[in-house]
Amino acid sequence: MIINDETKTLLSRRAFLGQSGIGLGSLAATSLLNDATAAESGRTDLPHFPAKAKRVIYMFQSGGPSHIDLFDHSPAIKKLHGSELPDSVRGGQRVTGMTAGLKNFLVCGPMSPMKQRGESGTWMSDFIPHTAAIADKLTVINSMHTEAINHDPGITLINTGSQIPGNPSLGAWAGYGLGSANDNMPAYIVLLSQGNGKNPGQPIFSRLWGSGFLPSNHQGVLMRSGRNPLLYLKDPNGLDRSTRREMLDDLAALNGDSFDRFGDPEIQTRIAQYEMAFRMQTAAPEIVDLSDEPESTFKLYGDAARQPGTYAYNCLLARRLAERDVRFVQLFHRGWDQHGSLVPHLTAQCKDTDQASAALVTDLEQRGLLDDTLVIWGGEFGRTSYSQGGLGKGRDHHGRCFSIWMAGGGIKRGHVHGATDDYCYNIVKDPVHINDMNATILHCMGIDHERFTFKFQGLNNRLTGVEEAHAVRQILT
Amino acid sequence: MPLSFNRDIRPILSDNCFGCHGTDAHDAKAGLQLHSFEAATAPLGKEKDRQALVPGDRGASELWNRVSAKDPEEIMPPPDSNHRLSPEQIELLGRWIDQGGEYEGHWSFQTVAAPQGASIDSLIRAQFEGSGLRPAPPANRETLLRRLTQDLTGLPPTPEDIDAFLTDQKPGAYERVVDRLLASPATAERLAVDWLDGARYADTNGYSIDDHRDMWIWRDWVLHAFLTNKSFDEFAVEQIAGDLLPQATEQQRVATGFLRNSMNTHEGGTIPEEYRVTYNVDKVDTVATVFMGLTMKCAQCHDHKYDPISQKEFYQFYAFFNQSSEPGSGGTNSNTAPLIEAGSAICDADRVKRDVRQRIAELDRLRVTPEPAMARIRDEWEARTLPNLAPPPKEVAQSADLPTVPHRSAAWIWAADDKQASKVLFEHRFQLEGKPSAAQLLFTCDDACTIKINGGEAIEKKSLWMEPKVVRITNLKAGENHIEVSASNDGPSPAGLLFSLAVRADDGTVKHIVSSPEWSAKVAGAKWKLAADLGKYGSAPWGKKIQEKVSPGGVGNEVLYLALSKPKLKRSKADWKTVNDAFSAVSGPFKIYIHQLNLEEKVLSKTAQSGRATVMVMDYKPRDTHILDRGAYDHPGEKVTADGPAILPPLNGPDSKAKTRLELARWLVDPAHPLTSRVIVNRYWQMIFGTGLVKTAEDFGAQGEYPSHPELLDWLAADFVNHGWDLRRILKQIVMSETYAQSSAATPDSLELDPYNRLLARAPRFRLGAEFVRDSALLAAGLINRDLGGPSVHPYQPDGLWAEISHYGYPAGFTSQKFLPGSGRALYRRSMYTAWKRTSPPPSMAIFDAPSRETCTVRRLSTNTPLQALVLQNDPQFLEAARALGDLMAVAGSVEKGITRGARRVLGRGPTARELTILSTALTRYQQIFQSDTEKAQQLLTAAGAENRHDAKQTAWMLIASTLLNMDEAVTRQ
Repeated sequence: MIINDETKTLLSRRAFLGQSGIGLGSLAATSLLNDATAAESGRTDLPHFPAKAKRVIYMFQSGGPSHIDLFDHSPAIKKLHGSELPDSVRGGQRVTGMTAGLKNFLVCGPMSPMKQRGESGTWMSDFIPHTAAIADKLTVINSMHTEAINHDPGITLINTGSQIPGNPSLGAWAGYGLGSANDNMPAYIVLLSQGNGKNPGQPIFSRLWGSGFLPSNHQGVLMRSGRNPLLYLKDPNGLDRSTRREMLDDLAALNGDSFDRFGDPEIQTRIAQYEMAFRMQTAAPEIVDLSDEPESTFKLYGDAARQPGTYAYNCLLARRLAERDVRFVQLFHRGWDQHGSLVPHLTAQCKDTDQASAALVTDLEQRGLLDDTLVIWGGEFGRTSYSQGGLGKGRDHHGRCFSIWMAGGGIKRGHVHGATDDYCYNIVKDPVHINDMNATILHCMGIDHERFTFKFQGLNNRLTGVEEAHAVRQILT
Repeated sequence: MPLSFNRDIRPILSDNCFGCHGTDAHDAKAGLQLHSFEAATAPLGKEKDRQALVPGDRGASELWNRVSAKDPEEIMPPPDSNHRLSPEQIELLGRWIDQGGEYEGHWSFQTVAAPQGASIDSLIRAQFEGSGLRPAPPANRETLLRRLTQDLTGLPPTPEDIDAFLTDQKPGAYERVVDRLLASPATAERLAVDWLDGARYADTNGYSIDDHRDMWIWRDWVLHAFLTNKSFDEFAVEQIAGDLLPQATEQQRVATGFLRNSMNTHEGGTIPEEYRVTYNVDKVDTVATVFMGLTMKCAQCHDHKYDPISQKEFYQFYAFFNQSSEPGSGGTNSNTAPLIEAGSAICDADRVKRDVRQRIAELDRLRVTPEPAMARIRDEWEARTLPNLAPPPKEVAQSADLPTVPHRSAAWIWAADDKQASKVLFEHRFQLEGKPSAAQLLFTCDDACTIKINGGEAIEKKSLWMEPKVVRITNLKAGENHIEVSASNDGPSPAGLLFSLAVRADDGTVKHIVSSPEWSAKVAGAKWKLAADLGKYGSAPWGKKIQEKVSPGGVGNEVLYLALSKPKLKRSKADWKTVNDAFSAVSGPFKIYIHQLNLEEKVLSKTAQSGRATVMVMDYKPRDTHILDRGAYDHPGEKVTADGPAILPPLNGPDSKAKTRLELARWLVDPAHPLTSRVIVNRYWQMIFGTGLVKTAEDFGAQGEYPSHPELLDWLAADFVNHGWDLRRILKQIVMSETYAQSSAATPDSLELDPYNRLLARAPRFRLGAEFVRDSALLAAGLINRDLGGPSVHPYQPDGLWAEISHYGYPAGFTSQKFLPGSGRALYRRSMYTAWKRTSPPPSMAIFDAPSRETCTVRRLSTNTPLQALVLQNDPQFLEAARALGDLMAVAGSVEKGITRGARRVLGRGPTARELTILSTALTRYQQIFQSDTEKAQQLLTAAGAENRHDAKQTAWMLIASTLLNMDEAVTRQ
């Protein structure tokens, strides 16, 4: 008989129980907690090499932030503004159904002045003054690219490595591989917000933080504002903690009897999971309770950070989660889809995000957490350097190049990677595919993306797909 | 034990070697392929003097030399491939070469060969030989009954079921229960759940906007098929090609909805052809996975690396599904063609109408009692608004139903040439058929004006322009009427007049006379001209101001006053419409909310009338199919025609005609097909034992797992086919076996010898599927609503989950963007009827491992997590179940009887002495707590859906019930 070990998690737990010689005798309650920890401890072959980043905060900007208005500088663009984009630049490109009907492709330069920032001289526009002020802490990649040209496939690709639904998200992979570093919280927490730039923004999907073909305990867990920071977390009114505790003790005794009768290790695991749930009921509300934050915090992140559900609030929660060693925190912020009303919408969108994004990096650094926390800021694609709806009015989706930034654990400071042509349209140096970016993120976490596989439907699947992909060594410390 | 190529060797080669040296000839490294004896013994190298495999001589075999090499330059697999053979695997390969290096065709492509004279038990026990395992003793009758009922129906047995079985001492008692259950609607529902996973059933379109679709008619077809035990071959043929059957019936066409459950998109910017290809690839994946356990989609971009399926064969298979008129761009808020309107196979039209009207009533209820956030802002607005409204003056009470909002066609007008003129005169004449019974004028002007009607008393307005004025008009006459307006503008910006006169005739009809560009206008001293149109009422910048000022008050809206001054419970539907309309006019979020309710109601309206619904189906439209280079929709290559893969038996078409889905369907259920019967019986084995005989139920290819009991798999497959693909029979065969009836208690020996219980020397013990966790609690609590079939329902889920990810709030509006909770009996339907939004599946079910239904799933992985503990403790559905179960326990007559009643309902057995002690002690403790604090009792009962109660005893029993429902055993079949 062949035992096909589906998850190392399961194996390690069973092995643990096997080694403990569990028969039908009852097991002391204390050892169960070790078991629960083992169940969340990730794969035994990881990390492949020492990790620079113990945890990740990924501020995903959904909708396609305009690289040309924010990061990607072309000295020639000023002169080209208003001119027709040459066919040779577009070069038979696959365009969206929205651009397909355009008659003119008028080049449109950045709608806010681009300036060199800090000692590194990294170019950033006046749309994002706070990010500009921390330019020396970041690596900006201006040569990102993707095959996707629309939102659904685009955000699905960058978050799961495939345009087609069904694959695990980056955060699920991380949790599956490395497990949770916090006994009281899940390994992968998701925070949602909506910007004012385009409201409602394009839809997002639970598949973006889903577990795909991995066991479902690796799916991202939504952390929300309000009464229940995690779904179903809060006990009903009228049920005290002490009463809940008594009930769980009774439950553990009843389940313990069941274990004595059946010898099924799953029963032990369940007892342990109830204990973890009980701890989560204390741990999660503490995270969303900002009353212990000094005024200086809100000065740093902005007043919006007081308001549950805002991007700034979520950035602050991300720091609080990082402090508690939550492995992978991902913000999904909507509203970056500026087909029209480019300037007012982009202004609003940046106003919502710029200060808090920068504050998070600064804050992590001040607390000594930046060295081992990888911070990522970016969306699913960029926007065209030609105008949609009239010169300066809007921009369509653009996958041939776009910009993201990274900072912290394992990433160079004050660095710019990759370059595009005069039109900020095609990459001319050091292209970075989405799979390369994901390989880089895994690399920072001590994982070789090629060796990090999960067998499903006969294939050793990996986050970065079947095509060749490489961690971007040039941006690593 | 002699080596078996398929069991021992193929998995090693497939996993480690075939990636580079497999079936994909285009990509074979160094020209070496190892997938067949011929390929492995072909001469190699420049001199053609070597062979990978020299039968009987490992030393001469390059394969052995390379896998056993120590030199990193020599060793295979190469160190950078991330594959490494263990010493045991290397030795196995050596032994295999020494024994002759024989190949076997991949096991699952061989004809089914059933052992004669065998049985499930004999084939299971044959594998115990030499293992030290012995069959476990039989489970006790209570455990067995619960297991059987759970496995076949997804529900626990009722106390009556238990009593009936325990008292039936006549021979055949167990078999009678089996027969009763197999014929029950509950079994049809349980079987449907797994089929819905495979068929990726959902109530939304899946991609991007993920709006509403209607496929429940197809779901009812599935239920009906299981209820009537339709033979599986017909079941398959109708779903794949029902439309192509001679004289296809409506229901046979409905069946093809199976294929149409693919997701679709209407995202702006989508290239339709790209997605049309995607939908068809999804159909290939679904059919190949569900019926054949083949990962055909791996051959979309290149030849399959592990299985003998070329890229060309993929597109030949794809061609079957490519011949349809289904477009790449999906429908908005609805189904996408081709579709038909059809009735349900389960519910008659009246039942469907009743369900849909119930849903419409739920939406109505949400207009009266909206979600908390909306209720709060509306309450605040009501409190603010009512004091500012004047009660209707008695003498004009008859005009109270005339509108105090400008008619929508009213335009802002001014002088044509000079939009900033300081003074403008207007004139307008209009006809009335008779003398009106009432008339009311609303007007406003930037900045002041005087109006005379029929030369009567001047009506003046001098206040700010954004303060409209409403007055009764009493001097209208039959025939021609005359309006004169003198208006002035103080400022430098354009001015405007808005005039809206509502006139009620004797018969109650209302006519509107409104300002429009047809009116005559002039600045002082000039000639009359047509007025200038500055925009309709509602347009910027005046519209918003007017909306803010007019509707809610300050202007004596008597209708609103009358509605708001009634207590909420006393308000009529019309009152609520007045209130909600008025609040919508000033509150963006509330307007969006009401708009969403209206949209959801709109898509139900047809079904509410007819009791029928549309369902997406397949049609046949010839279309050329090409191999797509690297799978890209815009890179067509060689043209291909529909056919099956060569490794499988020939797929015969009708003479001189192209092969269609009908031939495909019949080929799949041809008894000679080696895969379909094996794959299907394996999944039913998986359903009952938790793990298939082939654990990788989704992959019967080279990378799948070799069967734990190959002969048993074939025995079951043959029995299935030989008895007319009779699903009930095969299920009965399985549950009648002694293997099934064993105890699931592990011993230290059995745990050590077979930790995964693949040899089944004991019965498996595993957690219930997501749907059945909830269904079981509802049944135990006596809450369950056993209605069969029909449209989907909307039981409890936490607020806001859909809206926070969707396009909710988009002005035009889409369906299924905001979760709108149901009420009443709909809350207690079985979980298979819960509305399924693919981008935000029902959260409590996702937490218990339900898939998203975006793609085909034939095996759910089972996890054990803290979030599951939280659902069972705190989900309102489970709190309510605990309260209802507690109520049943509280009236049992004594504490012991109460606990016994609860245990029997949840666990299918009476409590042990220790359980009695633990729970009765707890009950006393809880009673003390809630006696001393009745407020807590009330809060807790309120949270569990019973308001205005504070009974300590009931509260205490509720917690005992909750404890039972949270037991591991409660959510486990054992």
